[in-house]
Amino acid sequence: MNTAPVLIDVHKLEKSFHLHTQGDVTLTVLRGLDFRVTAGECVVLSGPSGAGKSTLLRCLYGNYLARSGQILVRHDGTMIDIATAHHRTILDVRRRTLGYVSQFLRVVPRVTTLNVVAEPLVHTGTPVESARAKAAGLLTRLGIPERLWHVAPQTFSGGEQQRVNIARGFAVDYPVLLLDEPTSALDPENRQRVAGLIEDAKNRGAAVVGIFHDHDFGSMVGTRWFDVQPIAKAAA
Amino acid sequence: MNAISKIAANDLPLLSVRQLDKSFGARTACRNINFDLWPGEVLAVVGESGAGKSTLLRCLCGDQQPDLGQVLFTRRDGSISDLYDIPEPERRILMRTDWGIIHQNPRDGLRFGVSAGANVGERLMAIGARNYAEIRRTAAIWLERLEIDVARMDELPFTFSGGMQQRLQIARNLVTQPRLVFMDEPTGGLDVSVQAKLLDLLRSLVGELGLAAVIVTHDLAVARLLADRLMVMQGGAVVELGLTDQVLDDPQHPYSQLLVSSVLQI
Repeated sequence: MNTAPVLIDVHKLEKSFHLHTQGDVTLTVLRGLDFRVTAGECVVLSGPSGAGKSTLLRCLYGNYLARSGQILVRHDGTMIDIATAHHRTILDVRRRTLGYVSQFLRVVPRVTTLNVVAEPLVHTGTPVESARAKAAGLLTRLGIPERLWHVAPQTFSGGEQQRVNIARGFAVDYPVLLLDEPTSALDPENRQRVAGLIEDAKNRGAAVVGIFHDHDFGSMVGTRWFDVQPIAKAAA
Repeated sequence: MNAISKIAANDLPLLSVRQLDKSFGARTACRNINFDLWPGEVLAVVGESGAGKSTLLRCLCGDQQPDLGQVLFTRRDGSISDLYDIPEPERRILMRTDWGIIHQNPRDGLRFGVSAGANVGERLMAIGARNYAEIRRTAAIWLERLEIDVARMDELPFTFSGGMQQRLQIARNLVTQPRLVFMDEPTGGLDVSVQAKLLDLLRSLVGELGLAAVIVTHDLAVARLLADRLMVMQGGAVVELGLTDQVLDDPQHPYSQLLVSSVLQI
């Protein structure tokens, strides 16, 4: 019997895209989706490409608008419905509760790597010096050499940028973490380092939802799988 | 007690726009505009030329009286007034102190006949500062913050590059520590490298000072980096308003979809 608190609770989520400029097509990607994640779990989304795994993660983050259904996320002890919440509430949930690590680093040019990583923590009110100290710890752990910390990451290799992106995503100890192929450009050694970070997040009681193209990585960090199938096939 | 009143004050929008209309003759520039802006929030307004973005900005900042509707603002003491109901002198004071206006062309926002230092110091004098040494010291701090060499404080703005003029204009506006800043294409007309520098500066200033801002831009990348929310205008009307990343990644309105899909991926 699992008594860990539920941090994500999705009910009957439907997501469709109405493409006005491309022949008025409506594509329904998710329908009637129920999904629940408790503290300390790492749920790995599986299913074929195009089934809607990323769409689900983006709906959880409020990046995509749900067509109907509820997307409840525990924030400060109460369940907030991301599908209907006020924009200021969503921004606050993102600042303190909900972390999202995408495949690519997207940041302002000219900002140093150390500040790129420290920034989300500074936005939660952490003093700049302690935010930078934590950022330095994460960069060290992810094998980014110190000589790169004071340079902007735009010129880094794909793998380095991806590690900077992961460090940024783990800077705040978010209660809920959404990971969208964060390790696609990493070698086995660095993947192992990221697995360590995910393990730590689970141990402190975070709920993690991830998409990993590498099945072995998913088996290593995941506590269970959640299968997302294209809805046409699911209906058949 | 203090903390509670602070939260309460933060829960009031800084600016509330209600059913704002503005026409020029037969041409409608703004039609039924409604939105709220909260303290510390950055709102970007995008849309093609002629969509009404700049007219809206002028109506918001006190430069252009709308035909209909209200522009309500919350004062520091929590009282709410309609911008166009207060006497003209009071509106002028508000624009010079609590608000800042950064024009696309620095010529519209700077005085080219006086030194860089005087351009910054002038706003302080307008709110009653009289101690010359003090004004000069404060001006120097703001020039430095905007990465303008203090040694050039006594030079006239026309000797500055376009990027420096734009930063000087920002320093001039921020010196009175406004709560709300209006910007019309703040990075337009600048080289890409200068734009990046200005964006970084703007972003850190907005963050550090807790400024609210309304930014008119045609550059969606600028909007993505600076704004919390994005407002899409077409033909004088707001067709979509939402979190910036949501509007850019999952646009709902046909025009927003067209706008987002028209940008070259780089």
